[in-house]
Amino acid sequence: MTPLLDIRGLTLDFVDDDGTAWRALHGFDLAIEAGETLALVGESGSGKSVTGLAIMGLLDRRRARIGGAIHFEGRAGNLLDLPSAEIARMRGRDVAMIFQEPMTSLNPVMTVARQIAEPLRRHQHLKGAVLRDAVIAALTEVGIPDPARRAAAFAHELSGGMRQRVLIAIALACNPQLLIADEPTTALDVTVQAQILDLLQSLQARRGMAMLFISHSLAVVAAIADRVAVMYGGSIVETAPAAVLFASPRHPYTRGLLSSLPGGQRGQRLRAIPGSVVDPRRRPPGCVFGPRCGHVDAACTTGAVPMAAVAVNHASRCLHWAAL
Amino acid sequence: MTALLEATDLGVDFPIRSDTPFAAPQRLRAVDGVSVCVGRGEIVGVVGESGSGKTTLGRAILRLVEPTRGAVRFDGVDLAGLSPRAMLPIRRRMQAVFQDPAGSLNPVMTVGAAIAEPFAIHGIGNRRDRPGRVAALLERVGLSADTAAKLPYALSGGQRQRVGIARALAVSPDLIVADEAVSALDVSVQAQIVNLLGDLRAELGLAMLFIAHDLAVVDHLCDRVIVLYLGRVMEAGRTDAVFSAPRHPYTRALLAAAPQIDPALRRVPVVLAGELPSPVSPPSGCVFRTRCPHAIADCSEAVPPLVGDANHAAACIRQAEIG
Repeated sequence: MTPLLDIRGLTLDFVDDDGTAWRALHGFDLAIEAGETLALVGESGSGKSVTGLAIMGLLDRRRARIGGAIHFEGRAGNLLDLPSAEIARMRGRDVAMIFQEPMTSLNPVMTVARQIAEPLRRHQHLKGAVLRDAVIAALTEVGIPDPARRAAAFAHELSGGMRQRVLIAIALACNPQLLIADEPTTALDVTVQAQILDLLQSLQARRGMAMLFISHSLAVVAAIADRVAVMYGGSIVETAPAAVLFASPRHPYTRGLLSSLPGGQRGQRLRAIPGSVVDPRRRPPGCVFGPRCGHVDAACTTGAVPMAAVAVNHASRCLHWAAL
Repeated sequence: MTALLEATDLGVDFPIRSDTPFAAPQRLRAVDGVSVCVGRGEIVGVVGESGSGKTTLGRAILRLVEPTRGAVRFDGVDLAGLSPRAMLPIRRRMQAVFQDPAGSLNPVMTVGAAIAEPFAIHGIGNRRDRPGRVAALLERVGLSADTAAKLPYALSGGQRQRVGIARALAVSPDLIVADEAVSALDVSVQAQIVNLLGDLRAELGLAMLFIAHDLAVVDHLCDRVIVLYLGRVMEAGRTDAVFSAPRHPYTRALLAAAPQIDPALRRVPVVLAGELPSPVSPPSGCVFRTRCPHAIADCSEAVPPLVGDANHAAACIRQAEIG
């Protein structure tokens, strides 16, 4: 079976003002099956957000050179080669995206109803009463109370949780097959976060939609993901089904992240990863995690480390995964 | 023995400008009737969601905002009405660390100058011994001495937060008010800073008021905790007691909503309806009743008092029945 989204050897180079280029994504493969939730988890600068933007075709082509191939739904063409008008036709219809801060993603001078109507008008050519009903239905589906009245509201009149619900309603209005959710609950309080995660899961189950869930929080990822890809310094360092990844991680970075979380014995020292997060412009030779790794040896620093198959559906970018 | 810090029945109101000219002025009760005690060498956590008043509580204790009601005593001295001059020696003993280390460091001041500034303000040491003191502080927080010559932009987020902590330590305080001090940091770096704060308590006997929304970090680091909602204390007590057997429905909902990696630790989610009500017109009686699954008519009658002892107390009239 071909996956819904198939990414092969994705690279991304940003070009600075002075013409120098630096590599933000270092060539990785990633596939999302129809209906599944794949979480992309990593710390700041790991490249998880730009991966989402690259799929959506939202990076400035003059500043960002993308290499590799992205295939959607088994179509013959590489998304990266499509003209921008063709990508614009797909955005919102086949693939949609939601972001961390709903206040900055919503237009402050446009009512909620107009913003939800926009993709419906553009892709499904709805008009008049049919369009109005579709907008109210979209608001109802994301659990907004009194949708007919809220439709006339502006973003500033809504709470953070309500804004995120509106953003989800806009993204899902045209029933896309893939939703890219970039830190959708990070700006929310924990009780509201639980509501939004719950909403995303129930909408996904109802529609059979796939989701690429981008997050820095391992705990949120554990709650929502079927599969997890761990990113560090512009590379995917480990992929596995969620339960396997959290029970038996096979990359030192994944292990370090899990052990540095509080939750063991109160008052004891946490097992922190030494050093700071790698600067993507100053990547070390060889393994990107090498300088912070307790298992590093000469082989790790000589050349790029390939993904090694640990088991079916489980891969690690570590030469020493078997010894961990 | 008196506690190092004792805030009693603290309240902070903010006036709100009304939209219409002759309307009665409105007041936003950011903090209302909060009492909290911090002993020497003790770390007390303050948890709550946004709008719970936790940051305002910290600022009122530091007298960065003037409390409207109640008293703050530091080492037995009532801070109310102290002149700026009389406050100065007390300010030396209570310091603050903030969430965003980039925003709280002057971008054009070297790290060394930022850390040495409190020496000049409080007249500690002389000009010649300052570089040595700065180097010792940098080493104490795990930075190399050559960091002193750098500007904040050249540091990572974790390093900046270490500088913020070094600057707070410069005047050898007894108490640090840490407001979301580890929230902006990446997980792998957050653990380093949590360890550093724990070490400072153990080695220097430093007391801390640790304000945070991350329950796991508070559970790990704090001896005691207070849970705030809409400016009021819902539950207070020893961290192990509050987190392992929460009595207040809000604390339960908060703990249940926190995502867990270990499936064995996941709780049955308590879905809270709606969101935080406006602090301008808080609900009568128990402020949590509008979202509480256990609310009854009596909950709107009077503000429920904290019932329990110093180890564990909750402000819920139904805590015995719903347990």
